[in-house]
Amino acid sequence: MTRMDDLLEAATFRFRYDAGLRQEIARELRAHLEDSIAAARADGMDEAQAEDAAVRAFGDPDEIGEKLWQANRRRMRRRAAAMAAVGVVLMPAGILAACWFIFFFLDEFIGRVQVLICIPAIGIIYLLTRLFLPKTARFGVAFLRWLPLAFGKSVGTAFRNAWIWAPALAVFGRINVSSNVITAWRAFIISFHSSPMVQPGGGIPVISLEAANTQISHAGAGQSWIIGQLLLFLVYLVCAVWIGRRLRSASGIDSRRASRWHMVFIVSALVGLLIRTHVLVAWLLSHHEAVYLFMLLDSAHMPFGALISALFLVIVLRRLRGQSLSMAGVLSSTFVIIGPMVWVFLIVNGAGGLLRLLCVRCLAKFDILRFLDVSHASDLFLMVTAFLPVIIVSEQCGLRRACVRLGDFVLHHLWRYMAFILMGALLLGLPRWAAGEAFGSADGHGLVFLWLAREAIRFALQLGLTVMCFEFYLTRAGTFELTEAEKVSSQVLSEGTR
Amino acid sequence: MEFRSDLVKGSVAPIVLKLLSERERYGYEIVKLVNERTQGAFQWKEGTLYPCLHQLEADGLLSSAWREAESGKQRKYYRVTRKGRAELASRTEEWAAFSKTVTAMLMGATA
Repeated sequence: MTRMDDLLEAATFRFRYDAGLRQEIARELRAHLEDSIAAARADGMDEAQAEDAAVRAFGDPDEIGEKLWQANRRRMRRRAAAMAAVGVVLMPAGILAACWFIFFFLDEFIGRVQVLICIPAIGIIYLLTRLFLPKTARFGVAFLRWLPLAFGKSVGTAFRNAWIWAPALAVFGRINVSSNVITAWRAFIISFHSSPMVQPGGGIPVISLEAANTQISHAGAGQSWIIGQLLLFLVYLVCAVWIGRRLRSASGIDSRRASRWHMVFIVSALVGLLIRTHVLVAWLLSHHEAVYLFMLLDSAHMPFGALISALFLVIVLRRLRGQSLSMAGVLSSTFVIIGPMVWVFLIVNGAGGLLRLLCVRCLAKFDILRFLDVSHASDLFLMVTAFLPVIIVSEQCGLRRACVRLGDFVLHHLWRYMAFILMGALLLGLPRWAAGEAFGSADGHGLVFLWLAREAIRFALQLGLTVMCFEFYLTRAGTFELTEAEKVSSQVLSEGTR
Repeated sequence: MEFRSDLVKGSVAPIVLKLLSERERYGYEIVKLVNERTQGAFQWKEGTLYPCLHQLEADGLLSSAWREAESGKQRKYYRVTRKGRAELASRTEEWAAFSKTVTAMLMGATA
C-alpha cells in the first residue's frame, strides 16, 4: 500500500460503515492527489518526491476526515434511513406476498410452475427497491459481465479456466447426495447446484442429504448414505488439494502458504460436516418427525456456513492481491462481506424453515408429494426474496458503477452468457434426469425443463454472488477504483488461460 | 501576506460559490484558481476545500456529477444550483456590508 493509499484510508476511516460513500470520497480525494503529483512532476520532481509533496500538502488526514464526516453526516443518515426502510418495509412485504402467492395460489390452483413466478417477483422487488434507492437498485444482472470472462470464448477455455470458477463452486456449492438414488442405483450424484442466494450455508462444501421420509425410513438406505457421504468427502478433499495447487501455481504462492489453503478447505469441510450432524440425527430417528427437524435445522446452520465460506474467500483473495493474512485483516474483511447477509439470511431462512413446517403439517397432510412441492416452493420464495439483501449488500460494497456498466456488456454478450447457462444447466441437470431424480417431477410427470430452468437460475445466482464478492474485495482492497480491480481480475483471468 | 485561518474560514464558501457560478469546476481546479487569483495570499488545501464543497452540496447549494475531463480522467464536477446563486448574491451583499463595517471600525472611517 502506498502512502497515498494510507492517507486515503485514514481520511475516509470515519465513513467505514458506508462503503459506497467512502469509496466516492476516496475517489475524489485520489483524483486531487494525482493532479497534485502530476503538477509536482511537471515541476521537475521524481515520482517519490512528487508523492511526498502531495501527501504533505494534503495536511492531516484525520482532521480532514473529521471535517468531511461532519459535512456528510446528514447524507449518511439519509442513506442509513433508506436502508432501514428497505429492510423494515420491503422485506416483510415481499415475504408475505411471496408466501401467499406460492403457498396458497400456485400450489393449489396452477401447479408446479414456480419458476415462472421468479420473473414478476424479481421485477416487483427490483422496481420497489429502485423507488426507495434510486441510484443503487441497479444490481440487475451484475454478474453477467464476469461470467464470460471466466468461461472464456469457448468450452475449451472454460475448462482451462476451471481453476477460477471451480473454487467458486466449491466454496459456494453444496454437494448433494440423494439417498433414494443410492438405494436404487448403488451410486451417487454430485451436483454443485445450491444457490447461496437461498442458502449461503450451502457455501460450505459439505455433504447434504436430500431427505424424504420414505427414504430415511427405508431399510438399507442409511448404510448406503453413509458410504456415499464418505466417498463424497474423499472426492471433495481430492478436489480441494487439486484446486489449491492450481491456485498456488497461478499466483506464485509458496508451498507453505498453499498448505494453509488446504487447511482452510479441510477445516471448512470438517466444520460443515459437524454442523450437518443433525442430518445424522434425522436418520437415526428414522421417523417422519425427523424430516421436519431436518428442515428446521437446515435453515439454522446457514449463517455459520456463510461465515466460513466468506472467510475462505477472503483468504484466497487477499493472497491473490498480495496482502497480508493477518488475523485482524482477514476477519474484518470477512465480516464486512458477510455481516449483513448473515443476519438477513438468518431471519429469512428461519422464517422459511418455520413456513415449511407449517405447510407440511397444515396443508400437505404429510403427503410426500405435497411435501416436496412445498419444500421447493419455499426454496423459490427464499431465492426471490433474497434478491433484496443482495441489492443492499451491493450498495454496501460500493458496486454501483459496476452495476451500471454491466448494462452495456450484457447487450453484447447475452447470447454467450445464455449459452453457458444452458451448458451449466445441462451439466447439472442431465445426471439427475437420467437417474429419474428431477425435482419438481417427483410425482413422475417429468417436468424436467422446469427443473432445468430452476437449476440454471441457481447456477447463475451462485456465480453471481461469487463475482460480487470478488469485485467488492478487489475494489475495496487498496485502490478504491473499480477500473483497477478490473485490471487485477483480467490479469488473474489471463493467467488462468495460459 | 498570509491570512489567519479564522479569517480565511468565513470566506471559503462565498468564494467557492463565486468560482462555481462562473462555470462548473472540480476540486483541484478550484484550489489552483484560488491560489492563482490571490497570488498566493490564500493557500487553500484539501482540508479547506472539500469539507466546504460537501457541506454546500448537502445544503443544496451545489450539485455534483462525475464526468470525464478532456484529459480522459474521471473528475467530480461541481456546479451552483439556483438556490446556490441566490445564496451567493445574499452572501456577497452581506460580505460587502461586513467588510465595510470592519474597515470602518479598524481604520476609523465612517461606516
